[in-house]
Amino acid sequence: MLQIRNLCVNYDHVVALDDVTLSVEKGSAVSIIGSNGAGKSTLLNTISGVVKRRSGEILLNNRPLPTSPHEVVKAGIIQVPEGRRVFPNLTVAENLLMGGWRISASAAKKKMREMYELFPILGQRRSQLAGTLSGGEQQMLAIARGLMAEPQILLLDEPSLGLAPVLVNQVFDIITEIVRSGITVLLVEQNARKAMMISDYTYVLENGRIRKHGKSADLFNDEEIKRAYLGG
Amino acid sequence: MNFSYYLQLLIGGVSNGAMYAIIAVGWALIFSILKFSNFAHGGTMVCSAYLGLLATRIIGANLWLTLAVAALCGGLINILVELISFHRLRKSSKQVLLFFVSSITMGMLLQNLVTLRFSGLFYSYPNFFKQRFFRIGNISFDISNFMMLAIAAVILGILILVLQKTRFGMAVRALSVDPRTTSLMGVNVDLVVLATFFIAGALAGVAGVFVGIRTILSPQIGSMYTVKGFMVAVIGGLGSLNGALFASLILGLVETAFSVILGTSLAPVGTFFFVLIFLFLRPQGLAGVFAMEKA
Repeated sequence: MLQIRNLCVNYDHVVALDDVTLSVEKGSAVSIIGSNGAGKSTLLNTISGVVKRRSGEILLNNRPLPTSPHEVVKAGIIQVPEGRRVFPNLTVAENLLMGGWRISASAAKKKMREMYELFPILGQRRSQLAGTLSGGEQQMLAIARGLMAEPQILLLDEPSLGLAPVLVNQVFDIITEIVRSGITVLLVEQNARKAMMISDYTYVLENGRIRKHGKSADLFNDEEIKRAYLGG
Repeated sequence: MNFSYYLQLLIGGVSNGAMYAIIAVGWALIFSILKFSNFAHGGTMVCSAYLGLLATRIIGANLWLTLAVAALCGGLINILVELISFHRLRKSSKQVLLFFVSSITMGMLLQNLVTLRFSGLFYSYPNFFKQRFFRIGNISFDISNFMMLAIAAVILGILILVLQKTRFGMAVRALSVDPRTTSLMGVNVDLVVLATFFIAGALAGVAGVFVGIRTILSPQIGSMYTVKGFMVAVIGGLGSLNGALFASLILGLVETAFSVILGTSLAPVGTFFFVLIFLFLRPQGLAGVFAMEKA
């Protein structure tokens, strides 16, 4: 469904992504793990069009993906950015409507009700400013906002970052639920164990290169991966 | 000096403030989404004021049509301002100084285009109102002051509604805190920026007509009102619409008061002095969000 071929990205003279090739099958969950600065966020941002690539191709359903952010969303790929990035000066409801920008206003209203069922806490706080929500609630809002676009592919950038353990589990449960509902998920995570547990396929990114990849279940037993990312 | 005299002054001051409000809100709109000041605002204003003046020569002294022409011209000119002096800079640079130089140059260019066409002579708008004054009891009021106040109130009311209640307004508010995430939601940020420039320019156009009604047009009002617009925006707290509204009201009243106390020629001295003292006491402006480095 999503294919990335020989992708190279530079920040000035620093190489951020070097010859990255990966593919995401329809309906699957793919995780990208790696340490800080490995290029994980850069990869998602390049797909989303907010970071320009130097070379390489990104294909969605065998057609080149547009390179400007709003066209990428229109094509059906939306990102839940790192650090949640909800709009603090907008209400919870307005944040959701922003996520539903690509669909019609009436469809967005309908979708919003669905989101309130999926995330009751957001329904309770719908007219509250998003900036007043707790970290966990903001993460729920960020994910719900992404789902509002009715995407084919949801890009999740470090959804568990900075959350209490209880909430981390809750977030991963929600992601599992999203995959089950038929949405393809590309997940970037530092929490490698959790990410691999809920994904079908995993890519390991190191210094901007794909170091290893394989079915998550197989990589889980890989000695090297165990040592480096799963704490022995 | 009696009650009616002060009442008239008060109304004059508030109406003066309404004119500033139209300028300053346009200013604040641009600042809120881009985090820099558009110093070409006065240039747009003076251009559309003169275009409005040309319109009155063709269509006669019709206030509404003149306002519409000036607003449309202001909007279109501001779109050019965005495309020529900001668009590429926005993509490539975060240096505020460049925006400053680029926009002030654009403002000067616009103002000098007016000078080229009309020379430095003074022009005035025709009288839009058959009657200049109306009376309630013993007190007579200047109709133009009332009209400007009412028009400004309606325009600002509509603008607030648009910002609060429409999808476009929501995108503007989102853009003002987080442009990147706004684009990640699928919003065509460039288009929203252009539309915002159009609205700010239309406001500048209306303000230009108001200036033409209140005073005499000369090309220099471009730079003069750029300074005043910036002043009001700073007093209000850069980027804050509410702050800009209150600051406009205050400045309008202060200026009217000084023109009575010191006479019209010395009034600006008093006004600038007031602004200096205000900024000394409250440098972050009325709205209170500190934006010192962003000017």
